[in-house]
Amino acid sequence: MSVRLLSSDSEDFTVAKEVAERSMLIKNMLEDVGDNDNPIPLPNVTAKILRKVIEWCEHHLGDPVTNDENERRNTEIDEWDQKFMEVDQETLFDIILAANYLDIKPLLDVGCKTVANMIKGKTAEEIRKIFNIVNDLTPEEEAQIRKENEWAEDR
Amino acid sequence: MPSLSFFSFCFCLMSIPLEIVTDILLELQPYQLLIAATVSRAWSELSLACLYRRVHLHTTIHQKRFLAALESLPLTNREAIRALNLNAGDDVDLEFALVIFGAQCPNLEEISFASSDDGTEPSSRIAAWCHGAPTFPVDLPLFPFIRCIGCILDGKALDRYRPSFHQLTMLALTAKQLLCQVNSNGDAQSPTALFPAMQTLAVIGDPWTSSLDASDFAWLQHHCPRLHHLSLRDLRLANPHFSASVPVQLSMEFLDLNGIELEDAGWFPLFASMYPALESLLLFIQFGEQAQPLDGVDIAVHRAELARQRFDEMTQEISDWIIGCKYLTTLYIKRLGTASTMSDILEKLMDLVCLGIWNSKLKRFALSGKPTHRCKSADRFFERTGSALVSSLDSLTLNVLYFHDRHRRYPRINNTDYSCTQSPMFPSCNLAPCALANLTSMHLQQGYGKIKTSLNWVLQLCPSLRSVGFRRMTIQTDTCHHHHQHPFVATSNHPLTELTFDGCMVIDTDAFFPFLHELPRLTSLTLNRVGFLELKSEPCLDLGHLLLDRLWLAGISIGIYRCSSMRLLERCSSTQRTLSATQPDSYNTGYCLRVSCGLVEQVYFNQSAPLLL
Repeated sequence: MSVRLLSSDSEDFTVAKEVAERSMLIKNMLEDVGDNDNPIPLPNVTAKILRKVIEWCEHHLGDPVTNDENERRNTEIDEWDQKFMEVDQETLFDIILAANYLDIKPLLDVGCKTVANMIKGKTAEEIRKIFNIVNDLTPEEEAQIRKENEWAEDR
Repeated sequence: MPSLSFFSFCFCLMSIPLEIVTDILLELQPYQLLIAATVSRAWSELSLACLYRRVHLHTTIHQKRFLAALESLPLTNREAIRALNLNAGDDVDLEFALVIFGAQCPNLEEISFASSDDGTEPSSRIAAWCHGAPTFPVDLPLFPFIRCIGCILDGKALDRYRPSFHQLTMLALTAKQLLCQVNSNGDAQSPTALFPAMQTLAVIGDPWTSSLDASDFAWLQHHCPRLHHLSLRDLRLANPHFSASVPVQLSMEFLDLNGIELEDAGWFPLFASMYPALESLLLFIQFGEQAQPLDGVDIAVHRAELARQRFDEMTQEISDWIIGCKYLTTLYIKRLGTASTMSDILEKLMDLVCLGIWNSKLKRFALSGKPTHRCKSADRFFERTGSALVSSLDSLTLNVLYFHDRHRRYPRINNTDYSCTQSPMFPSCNLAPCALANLTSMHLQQGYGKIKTSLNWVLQLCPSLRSVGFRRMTIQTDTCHHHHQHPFVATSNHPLTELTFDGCMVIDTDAFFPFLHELPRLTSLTLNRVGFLELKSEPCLDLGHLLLDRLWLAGISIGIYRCSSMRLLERCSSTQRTLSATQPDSYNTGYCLRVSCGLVEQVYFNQSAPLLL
């Protein structure tokens, strides 16, 4: 059984049904419409991103599905996913958005963890550099934030 | 001119739903959130909201500092506090802390307590907080939005929370409090449920004074229609017979029978029909001795005969119940009656798997508790006939005393003998090599001073292991020198990420520290109350460029000296620094433990050991 998916820029993808059903959104849609040859339109996902998402779903086809929030949170990113996520920031954010829209929780988790890892171990200045953020806090405000929340400094 | 990625990030950050940004930030530790909070105004708001959403105060030092900070904290931050996870240790003035939290955290939804023990014991969430929660009833001030209460409330507090019963999803009650509710809301058929949202309920009693009957379970079903996890501790279960037809509760997935005295084997078929959707079962049960002998029969003979019959009956009923739970993935056994009953039941379970009668879906299995005798059938786990049960598991926890005769005198473990000829090794050297190949998590307990284990041997037997923990074990790094010609096998591709030693003794220290260097995926290292035998050089733990999530070093001694300080070198930190965590020590005679690695997120050092979290 295969399913046709239509990206926002009108590219037609044919994928195995089990692969497409990693997306809860598509899974629910298929249940609603039943067997049907028409492509499923995905107006929020471009072909470039959809290709990446399908690649991920194909690789993780056999993974067990866990609903346990803690278990999901504590899982490390595996090597394949690390490589998969070695993309430019814009693509990374687009993948996260697509995972959220398509409701693919494990992919969303990997995306969030990847961004979190970019922040870990960095100083505020380094974070600003990575994400190109302008500091709009005054030195006094910064000092106040640090002082008020000093208890959290302990590791 | 700002780069393209600046626009993309601003665009993305704005277009990413707030809950995803929150998900990203929730991956960070408190100190990283504090750094993120100084990046910009927008980041500050989001990061502080995450910092305060769930506050873990797992040591008394954290708790004291947080309490001091709380009073001068802006209202927005205090309002953001939704969950508090506290330490209920002895040196904490809990009552005082709760009064302050009551006054300062208006939106609190969850209060729970860190487990103070059993770090390697299999514990689901509720078991953890029940274990760590204060054993006395707490006078909890009123938090109007509370949903999860992870401690027993005293009488006044329970009355205070009566209007909130409908919103509670988690609660602990004493058996007396439960029975009081049953009696005052006796009508099991009343239209409204008392706890319509309740998912997790702990009932804690005293086996001599509190007992429940089948009718009380019917009451629970009616008044907690969404109950998902029921944890019963220290109770007697008396009458399993129910006049009406047995009500079925499909929502129940986790059942803990912890320290339960059963009077009747009829409870097992009752549980089987009441809770057909169980996924997890914790069993620590004993069988009551309440039945009276018939006139004219010798009491001792009668007792023995009755006990034998009862055990036979129980063995049958328990194994029927376990194999009848179609969705069971987790089975934790702490005790099933006497040693021989337990042995019989395990034997039966293994037979049924081996014969293909029981299609076991078990993924997590534990044989823990405090064995009084060796459990004969446990040996079969690693033989061909028992390995059908073990080889499909992900997680295995074993008390090694089940495998060895407690009363046999083993020679004292010789610190220079690294073979299994004098003192036994667990897992034994002739173990079927593939029995444990699929395990991702293994915990061994209680062999201290009698039975050794070898870290290298464990990792060789379990090539998929992600997490390994030893509690009260004597450990050697190398494999047995008698059975393995080349004892030190490189483990450079081993996927182990989490290593925990608690209350252990390492006998070949010189091999241990270099061995850790060989584990490329390690992210969490816990050495709590660990004694290292005499080391020839200064203690130095070099983990290369590893990025650790957690480094916990407490109560470490080397030879007769304690480690009184630690120097941490983080090689990947942008500001290469040496962190020294020293507790005041009036004698200051201890070792300084030098640790180097890439980066550590959470570090804890203390020269004496607290109870493990």
